Amino acid sequence: MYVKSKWNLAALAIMALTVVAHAFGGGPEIWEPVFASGLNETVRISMGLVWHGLTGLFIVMTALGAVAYFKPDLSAGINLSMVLTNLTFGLLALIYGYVSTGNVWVLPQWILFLPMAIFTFLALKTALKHTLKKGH
Amino acid sequence: MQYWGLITACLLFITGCIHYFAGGKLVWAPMLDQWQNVKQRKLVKGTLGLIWHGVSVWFVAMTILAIYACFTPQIAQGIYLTLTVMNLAFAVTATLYGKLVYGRFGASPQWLFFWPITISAFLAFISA
Repeated sequence: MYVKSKWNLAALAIMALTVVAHAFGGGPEIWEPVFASGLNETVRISMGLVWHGLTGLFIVMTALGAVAYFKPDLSAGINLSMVLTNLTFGLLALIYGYVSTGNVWVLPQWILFLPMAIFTFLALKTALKHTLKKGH
Repeated sequence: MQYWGLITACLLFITGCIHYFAGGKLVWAPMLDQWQNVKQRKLVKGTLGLIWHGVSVWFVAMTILAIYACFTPQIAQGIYLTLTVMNLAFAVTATLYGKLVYGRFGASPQWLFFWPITISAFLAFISA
């Protein structure tokens, strides 16, 4: 019998929090100064796409957390992809924050992404047991 | 062999290179130039750098995932589904953003990259 992993729900909850922080906290503080700046249109449009695209990506990742929880056959693949994506952003926030500012606390985004990487890794372990059992 | 998976990996790698090399020169370099002369909080500058470079590394991660899925059919469906919907988010944003904010689809032509990735990842998903 497939055991749903509660770690997926934990990751989903933090990702939903990330969506709120990115859209409502980061939007006015970080994105709006760029939008209102004198930078040329190509730069503003491309940065705008990256900013809003990431909002969409985080919403999709929240939904994928729910799919991984309810669909055992897809869970391992989704969780592996989420581990790698969360690690990418979490480690980069830690390293880039330290390298560019000399302080890991200036860019605290890793505090959200690294726990999500750990939670999805724990969910991946559960999902792999199901996949391996099914394979035998 | 998952041919659609390999095609997805190639498209992801090419788009990642365009983002890093062409985007780095045309978008990120001017951004850095202007921002260095403006009094702005480190959090704002750092976060913009993080999202820009984060997307570069994310493309590398997605390329690795697409190739890995070709050789692990047990979990390939989940990986390709993830790649499909993640890139769909950017495809929809790129398509609508240029039109809604700047009045023309050509304002954000990145949708030309994201739709083919989304479609090939979806074909890999249904054939996995």
